[in-house]
This record gives sequence, structure tokens and C-alpha cells, in this order.
Amino acid sequence: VNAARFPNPPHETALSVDAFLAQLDARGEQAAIANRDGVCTYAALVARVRGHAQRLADASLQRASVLLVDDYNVDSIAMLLALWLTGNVVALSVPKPDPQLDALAASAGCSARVQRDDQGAYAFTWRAAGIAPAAVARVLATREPGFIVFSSGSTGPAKGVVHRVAPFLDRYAHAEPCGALLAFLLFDHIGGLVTVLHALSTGGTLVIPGERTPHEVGRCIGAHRVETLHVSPTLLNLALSSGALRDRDLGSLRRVYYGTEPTSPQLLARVSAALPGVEMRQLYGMSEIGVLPCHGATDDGLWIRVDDPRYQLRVVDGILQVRGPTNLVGYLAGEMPLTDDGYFITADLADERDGHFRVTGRAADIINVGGKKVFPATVEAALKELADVLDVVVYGTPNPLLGQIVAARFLLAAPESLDSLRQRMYAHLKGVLSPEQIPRTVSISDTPLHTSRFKKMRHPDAAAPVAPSSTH
Amino acid sequence: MQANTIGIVEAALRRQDALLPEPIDLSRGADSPLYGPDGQVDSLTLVTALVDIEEQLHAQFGCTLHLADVSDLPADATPFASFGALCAHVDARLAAVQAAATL
Repeated sequence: VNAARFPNPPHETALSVDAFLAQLDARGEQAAIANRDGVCTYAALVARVRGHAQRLADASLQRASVLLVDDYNVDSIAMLLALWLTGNVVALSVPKPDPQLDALAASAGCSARVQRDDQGAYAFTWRAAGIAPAAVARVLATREPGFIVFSSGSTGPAKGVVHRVAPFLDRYAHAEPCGALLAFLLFDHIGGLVTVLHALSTGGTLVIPGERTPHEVGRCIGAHRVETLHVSPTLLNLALSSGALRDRDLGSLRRVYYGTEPTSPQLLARVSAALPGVEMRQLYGMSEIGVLPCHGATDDGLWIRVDDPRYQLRVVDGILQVRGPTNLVGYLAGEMPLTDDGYFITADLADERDGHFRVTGRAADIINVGGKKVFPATVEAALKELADVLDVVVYGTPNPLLGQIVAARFLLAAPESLDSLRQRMYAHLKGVLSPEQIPRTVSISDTPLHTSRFKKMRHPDAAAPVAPSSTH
Repeated sequence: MQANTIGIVEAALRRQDALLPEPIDLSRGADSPLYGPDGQVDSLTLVTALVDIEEQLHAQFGCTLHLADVSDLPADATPFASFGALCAHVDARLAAVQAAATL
């Protein structure tokens, strides 16, 4: 095995979970977490962590692979930190049906599941662990804590991604202060996890919304004086289109971090106009590499640069490659797409210019129409200029004559016949897009075009098969 | 050739006019050239019309056709060469699907 392929070996200088907790404890009565139930101070949070850790030690639940099932709340964050404090590798999941949780636990070689019982107290359920996957075994062998996130599988089956905790504690120990940070992304998502670390590491306050809706985001900004939002472009689009930010007190807002999918300049312009004076900053991240310390490089917010010398980025054959301390240890199953010199091959299409990077889409999402490449983001940007279009997703669909053709699925603000939509779409696109870019099959959806994680549903046909002519 | 098929095919072709520099000329009736050496439409326009026809047939008859898949036809077949050939192709596909449904 080439050692250079594993760029994140354990290192002595990494911040331990114990030292991290000591830093939190020193913040005393500062607000650590705020939600509808009130505020939890840093001192109270650390006390909960220590309490959970004692219970875990009493149950000998240490240095094992464990499935933690919960959503965002004070106790789940305390339990996660406690599991780390006791040296566990924690697979994270929001509540799901038992068979799905069993499958996750089995794939991660978990010897226990930690989940609330009917009274709200955590119960430990032991299970036959079997042989730990190699990546989990590597982390456990170092006696370091770790975590496992399951990628959303938007471009294929879900993958379990194994990380060590220490590089993430290091990464956020040096992050810029965020103040009150709204935790919109899910608990079991890499974006949700780093939101917790960012807020707590920098002495901020993690604000947990009552529900994940654009209106609740608007309410929380005013109610909790939120300074930093970390959301997806889809959520931003919905928040604007639904009027969720209208008539809200947004005066506290200083910055919006967005990421997770290619973003159109029109959307950014709309958000910037609605939030004057608020810094818009694109982040780049994925389950396998964490979220990189990005800085906006241009006014349009589409080019980023990464100043941290611990991270190296490059574009090879049009695909972005990343090497850094928060790169994954490995997948639960399957080979990592790593180069010989330790770069993770992201499968994201990107441009590079003078050390700045612009992500343009997923390589797997490129549509090949008779040998000509079509980028969904380009077509979506043109279609969003049509009146009454709340959202649109563009994707390829198989065609025996041309290999693939472009398909578009719309979410509209008002009912309209398919024929009417198609005719005004044609009128709008003629001369604007090249013939191969123009959608040749069109459908109208009456449900949102995003997943529960507010990521664009890139293959809506597979998710919700609907005959095109039967939608309206 | 069924009159209903002719209407569906003609309407689908007419809807492509919005993207073309010149409307498709169907003045020669069944002999009007479509896709081929003397054709008026390119492959993308043809495919779009086929998808449109499939959608209309699905709406009217509830059946799913794959008009662009001609892998079962003889090598010298030209089902898209003219308006008449296309209508005959659609008729044949529709008849085959309906026959299969009654078995």
C-alpha cells in the first residue's frame, strides 16, 4: 500500500475531544444551543456530555462502532460528543424505520445502537457486530474517535463514509467566528455535522429551527438574531419564491454560506438583492472531504479559493481533485477514488483560473445528446427566466436515436397546460440555447423538485414516475 | 392509415414549427419528406415530434409506445422518411400494442 494515498494519518498535535470539551467548558454561561425550548449554556452542555459519557463507560460502550439515531437537539449533540469522548466511531442517522437502521448498523459493523426510548431517555441496544469494515477498524486501531456519514446517494446508492474526528476539531478550531448560526442541514449530513462543530468551536450559538421550512428559517433569523445561515441554494430559492423572508427582521444576518449544488447567477443576484449588505459565500464540500475553508473570489460568488495551505485543489481532465486533512479514511464498502498522490477525485466538474475554482456540475449529470455534451445547470438557468417557474430540474433521459435527450420537469406558480408551457418555453429558448440543449420532453410536477435535504432531485423520473401528459 | 393517427402526427409536427426557421411543409400530404436525404427536419426535431406523439397516444389510449426504437425493423426500413411513412409506423406500433393488450 502506498502511504501517500492516505494523507490524513493520526497526528500528535490534533485537538483531542477532551481538550475540545475543556474549551467549551471555559465558555461557562454563554449560550451554546438555542431552540424553541430555550437556551443551553456551554457549561450545561458539557455537563450533559460528561453525564452521558459516564453512562457509556458504565455500560462499557467504548472504542466501538455505534449507531446514533436522533435529530438535532441539545441531547443528541451531547450524546455525540460523549460517544466521541469514550473513543467510539459513531455512525449517524436520523430516525428511520427499523429495517433501514438495522441495515445501516450492519454495514458499519456496529455493536450497539443508541436511540431514545418512548420516555425520551437514551437506550443502548447491543447487537452482534460481525467484522468491522476495514476503514472503521483502521480508526478504532488508533484508539481515536471517528464518525460515519451516509452520502445522500443522489448520484447512486448511499455510501458510508468514515472519518476521524480529530482533523475536524482542528479544522474548526481555526474557523472564523460565526455568531448565532442556524443549523438547517440535517444531523446525519456532513454539512449538519460541521455546522455544529463550527458554532461550538468558535464560541457561537447553534440555533436549531423547530422545523425545516423556509418560513421557520425566516422566523428564527429574527427570533434568535441569527448572524450566519448555512443553507442549500434550493432552500434559498424556495425562501425567496415563497416570501418566507418578507416582512422578517433580518437585520442580524451577516453572511450566508451556501453550497452542495451548482448555483445560478440569477439566483444569487435575487438573494443578494433581497439581503443587501449580507455576504454571500459559496462553500464547497462533500461527505468525503468535509467542507473546505472557502473564500469568495469574485463578486458573482461563483468562483472560490481555498487559502488554507493544508488543502490542495486541482482540476484534472475537467474534474476537481482535493487533498486535505479532512479527507475520508475510507468507505464502508468499495474502493476510494484516490489518485496515487492522495487526491480525492470528486466527480465534480470544475474550471480553474489562477488558483480559483468554479464548480459547474456533477460529471454524472452531463447529458450526452448525439455526442454533444449538455450541462443541466446551463439549461436550468435559461428556463428559470420563464415567468411562473418556481423551480425546474433538467436531466437526461434515454433515447434510442440520440443516446440521450434533455428532459425538464417544472414546478410552476400557477396551473398551466403542458402544451402552453411547452410553446412559451420554445419561444423563449429559440436562439438562446443550441438545439441539443433545448428540452425535448417536458413535464409539470405538483410536488417540490428537491429532496428532504433540500438538494435538487436530479433524477425526478426515478423518484416519482409520472406520465408526462397526465400531470396537468 | 387511421384518421386519428394522422391528426396526432400532424399536430405534433406543427408544434415543432416554433423552434424551426421555416414551418414544416406538409403540402404534399403523405409524400411530404420528413427525415432523410431530402428531409425537412433534423434528428432532434424528429425525436421531439416522436416524444410528442407518444405522449398524445398515452393520453388518448393509455398505451406506451417507443417510436424511436426501430431495432426490430428491417435494415432498409425508413419509417421517418415521409409524413406517410411516419403515420404508418405509428399505426403499426399502436396496432401491435393494442393486439398484445387483448391477448
